[in-house]
Amino acid sequence: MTLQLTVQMAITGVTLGLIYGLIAIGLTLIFGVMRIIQYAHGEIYMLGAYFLYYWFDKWHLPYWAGFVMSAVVIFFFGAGLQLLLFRPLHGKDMLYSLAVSLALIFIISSAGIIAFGAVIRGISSFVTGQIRIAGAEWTFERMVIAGISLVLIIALWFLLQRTKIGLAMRAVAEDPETSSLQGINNRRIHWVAMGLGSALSAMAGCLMGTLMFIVPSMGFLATIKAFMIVIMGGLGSVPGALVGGFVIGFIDSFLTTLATSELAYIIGFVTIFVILVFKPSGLFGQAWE
Amino acid sequence: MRRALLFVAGLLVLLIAFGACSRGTPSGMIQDKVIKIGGAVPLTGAVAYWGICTDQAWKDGAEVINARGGVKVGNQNYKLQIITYDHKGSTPDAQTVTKRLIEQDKVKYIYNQAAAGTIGMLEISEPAKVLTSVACWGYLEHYGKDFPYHFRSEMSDYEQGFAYMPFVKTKYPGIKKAAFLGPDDKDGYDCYYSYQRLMKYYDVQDLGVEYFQWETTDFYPLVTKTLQKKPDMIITSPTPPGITASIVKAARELGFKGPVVSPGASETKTILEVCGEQADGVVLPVTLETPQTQSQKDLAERFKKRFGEFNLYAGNLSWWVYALAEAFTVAGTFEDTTKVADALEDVVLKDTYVGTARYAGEGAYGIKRQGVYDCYTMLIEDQKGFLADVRFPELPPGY
Repeated sequence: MTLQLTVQMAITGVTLGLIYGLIAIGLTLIFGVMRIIQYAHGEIYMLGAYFLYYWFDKWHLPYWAGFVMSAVVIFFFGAGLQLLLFRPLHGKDMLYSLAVSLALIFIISSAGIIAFGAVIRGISSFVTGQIRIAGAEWTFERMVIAGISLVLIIALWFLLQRTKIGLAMRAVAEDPETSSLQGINNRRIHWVAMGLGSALSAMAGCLMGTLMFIVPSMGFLATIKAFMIVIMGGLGSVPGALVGGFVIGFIDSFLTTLATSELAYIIGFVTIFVILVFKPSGLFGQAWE
Repeated sequence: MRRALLFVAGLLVLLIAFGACSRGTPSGMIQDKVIKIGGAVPLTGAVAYWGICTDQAWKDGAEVINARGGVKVGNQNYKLQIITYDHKGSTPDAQTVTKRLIEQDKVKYIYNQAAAGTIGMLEISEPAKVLTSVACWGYLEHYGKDFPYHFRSEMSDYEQGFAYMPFVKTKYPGIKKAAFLGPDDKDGYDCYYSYQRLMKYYDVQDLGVEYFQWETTDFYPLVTKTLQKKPDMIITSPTPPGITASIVKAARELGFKGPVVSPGASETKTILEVCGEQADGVVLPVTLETPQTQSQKDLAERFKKRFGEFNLYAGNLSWWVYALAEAFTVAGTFEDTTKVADALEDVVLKDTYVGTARYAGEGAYGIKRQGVYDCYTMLIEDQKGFLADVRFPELPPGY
């Protein structure tokens, strides 16, 4: 194994880890605050990507403004879903919200085919060029996307740890009844968390859509990755999502390059099983009832 | 009194109208004799794009044929009626919808799309002697003498190879070594087998294969591994445009400069959108984006009007329904699927969207059921896709 190959695998692993982490943090936030397993997380991710596609490639408006607008629009979309669909189910068995989110997968992806067509599309790159490190290639596009993912993950952690609304979210996540007695408006926190989780998912969709391609069925793959990472890192944990993203990213990069993609998949899941055996709540998760 | 007269008059009008309707509707239905054709295609799910295109091709063709007065079978003209169900690309769903088409809708002709759906369908359709026309490149053990009603109407990557390899070898004379990337499933394995035979035939060294999972989110690791073998050319199959674009983008970013051939991608737009300036050197066989003849232009316009879009892939499949209609006429029956199959294998169509189209492959597969047609090869250069080559596959002797 040459130095060039090792560096290339490491660069790919870091980039993938950060992007995977970004896909997963929205999901973990929604579960952490509301105990809802949002299976339609990938479909929200798809909507975010399509918003940017139309904004940038069809309407020829600035890329980064579209990235922000996608997050804003999907924030309100997610908040709307919470108010209309999930709030009436609050306090009921988790299976109800599970059924709603499963139905949302089919509704949103089928509506996506009707609205956008089944044709695969691509969001044009916002930057070209690359640098070479020890013979390995790192494109500016991947570098920027990895950097933004890192910034967004840190920003969410900062929001949760260092701001008043973050404190309220953590309080609601910890004990909704007590937080309510302390004057926190749980309903407000719920729709804010759902909106924020959706916005993060939309931004991840924008970045991955730029890196890869977009199609109405793209959400399925994102959901699988997000769940692998969230379960490994611990449901509701932002650092867990980041660490889980890195673990899966490095497994994907190193094992696929050195062995096969099948082995990367197997080892990815085996790693999750091993972690769950020794720490059932995941690396950084707390035990949920 | 006035109200009573108005009531009676109104009642009479209603009775006359009802009488007219009750005479007109059934007779109109009886007059239109129909041949039912079933569509078992994925309209939702991961391979919906292929299924929707297939369905559009059949529906458009049926409309055109019906507008001309239908299909002449013996002394009678018949309209084509298309009945479509979604099998979502799954084998069990394909079995269910095939049963429904045969037992409930009484169809004797089914079109299908994608390998999983085709395998499910064949278990039901072959014993029932239902003639099927499909797009499926892999699962070669489900094709041949033991499946006499099964027509593989879409030209597979193997046949395409006898058109694009002569072009590639002329355009890039320095090519000596090639590597293959394909999905980690039966389709991918069979396409690799086709590729191996092609490379041997054209004296190009095969550097081996890398298989990817359909769930792959980033092709960097796999392409990094492929490039370690130092290929002059990469062939990827069967990969849709989006995955092809992701492979091309990764390959270019990692420093690969040779041609990338993708027999299954069939459109340059996505590749240009995703790859931008890195798309140069992509070769796409069976991709006609700039219709040449009047009938090709008419078909493209008709699809846009009828479906709001024209997907090239639908154009590639558009000849199937015309071939079947021609076979009905030649066979003089649509009831006897054996006679229709015998007639269909000899149908030769000119001036279709894919030029001259016919069935072949008796030497290669033991039965003449493989669609072969003019291969329109697109090449991307200077960030533009253009028609670089048109030729009927130069099939080997004994094919």
